[in-house]
Amino acid sequence: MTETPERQIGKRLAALTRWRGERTELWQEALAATDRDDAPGKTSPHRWLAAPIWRVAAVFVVLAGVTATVWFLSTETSPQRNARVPTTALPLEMASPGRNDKDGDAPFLYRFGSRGDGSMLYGPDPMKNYFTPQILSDIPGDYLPDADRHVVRKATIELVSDDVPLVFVKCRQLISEAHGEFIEASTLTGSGVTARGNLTLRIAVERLSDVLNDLRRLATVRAEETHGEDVTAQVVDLEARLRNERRVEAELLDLLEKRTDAPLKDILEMRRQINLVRESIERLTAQNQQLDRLVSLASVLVVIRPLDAEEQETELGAYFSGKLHASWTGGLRLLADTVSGGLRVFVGGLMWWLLLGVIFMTVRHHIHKAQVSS
Amino acid sequence: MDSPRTDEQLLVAFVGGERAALGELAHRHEASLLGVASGLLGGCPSPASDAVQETWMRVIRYGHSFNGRSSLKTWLYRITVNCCRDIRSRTTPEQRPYPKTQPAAECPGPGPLPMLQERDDALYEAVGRLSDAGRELVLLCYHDGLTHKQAAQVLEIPLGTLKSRLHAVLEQLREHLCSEATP
Repeated sequence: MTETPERQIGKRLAALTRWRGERTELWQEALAATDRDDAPGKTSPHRWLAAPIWRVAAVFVVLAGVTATVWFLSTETSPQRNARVPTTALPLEMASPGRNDKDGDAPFLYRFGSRGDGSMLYGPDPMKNYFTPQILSDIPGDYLPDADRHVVRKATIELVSDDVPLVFVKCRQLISEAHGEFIEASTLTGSGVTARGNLTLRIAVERLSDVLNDLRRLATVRAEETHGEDVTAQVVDLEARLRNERRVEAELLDLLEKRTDAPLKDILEMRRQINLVRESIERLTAQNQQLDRLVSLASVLVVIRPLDAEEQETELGAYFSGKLHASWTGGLRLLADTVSGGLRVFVGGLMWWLLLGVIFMTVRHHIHKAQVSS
Repeated sequence: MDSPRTDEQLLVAFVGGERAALGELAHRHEASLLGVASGLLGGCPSPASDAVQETWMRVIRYGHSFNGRSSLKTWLYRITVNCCRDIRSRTTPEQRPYPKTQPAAECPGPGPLPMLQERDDALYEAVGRLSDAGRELVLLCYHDGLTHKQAAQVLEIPLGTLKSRLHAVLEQLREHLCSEATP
């Protein structure tokens, strides 16, 4: 029986993989080679790497290390960290070269410290009870005479209480007439859940924070707002114009005195001019005093409402939508913070991720090779 | 009379410290492994010996990690196939035994080739034209010591896939051999 072609090919192929050589003892040579390196059955370095728990632990440690490194480096270089604003002031220094403390009441700046970019942090002497320090531009010699700063302070505070009249009365008692304070306006309407109280207090600017603290203790604060309008430029302008007008007045008076032999017509004209100047002086003085009153006395608008009225006024729908909006906004912020944090870790540690990837691929290649042979 | 130990028992015994167990294992399989290696490496004995020696070294080093998912025999063949692949990858294209048929005198390694008396140059030529994967598949499938199922386990492919690929490879071989036969 003749063989099919397939069987013939099969036989020929089988012959290709049939060993016809001498008997070999390659296993002994292999044993001798491994004896030179290590003993059979000895634990190889790959073994511990193959254990899943160690691989997980190694990856976790490396991830934690890279993340901590990137986070630490990012916070080190953040501007907030470098902008040191010490709470205790440094020794007193003159901001403007050439000026010294022998200038009497000449204002000077108190150097609080320096920012990370090298600029200085100046502010008024806190012992003089000026306004809180502000960060200023770093121009040597440049200073802000805080004694001459004029700011009109306004504050609005909304209180809720179950006893509106009581809170209303207590608010009225907060003013101090000795400091020139007064109640500019006050209204108390309704009763019970419909009671409403509004007061406009004029408080000495030095006592503004104390009065606001006292108001906060009277009832529950629902809203609070403070506002400051810098009118220094207006004051300076007014004072300059006043000085000018006074100088013109003095010159006119001096001229009038010296020109006693002048014609009547000229004398009457000079007197008319003097009157005009004096009117201007009076007007400017009044404006200056008005500004001074506004600056020296802060306005505090106090609105008092009952608790029940607040709940009635808040419709369920508005409450629900408000809560949803707040939650949505908060959730978006949290998402943004999470994404930015993850992005910072990923981008900041990119070189570490690449290094980690190379190490991981190398180890994985070796383990895979060992496992394939197994 | 005790029944002979299985391959797995021999491996366990060797891992336990009995070196003679490895010798028994080698006595059973070394010749077959050399045959497969020589077929995959173009019939040259020296690289085939290197491949089989490397196989035993891996068995010695990683025998403790053999998990028994496959038979020890297919495990040994798989290691040998991998070692042959490593040897092929280490050689330059000019040094590789395939695709062109390598005359016996040009085989790397010392001495002539007394064992390959019945060299089938035409078949070597045809097998040499196959891809590496096709060559492995066809030689393992027609190796005396392996069934198709065991060959599939060695190559880590499903049996059905092996059969379909084998059919395609045989078609190619037939074409090569026919083209060689026709003048």
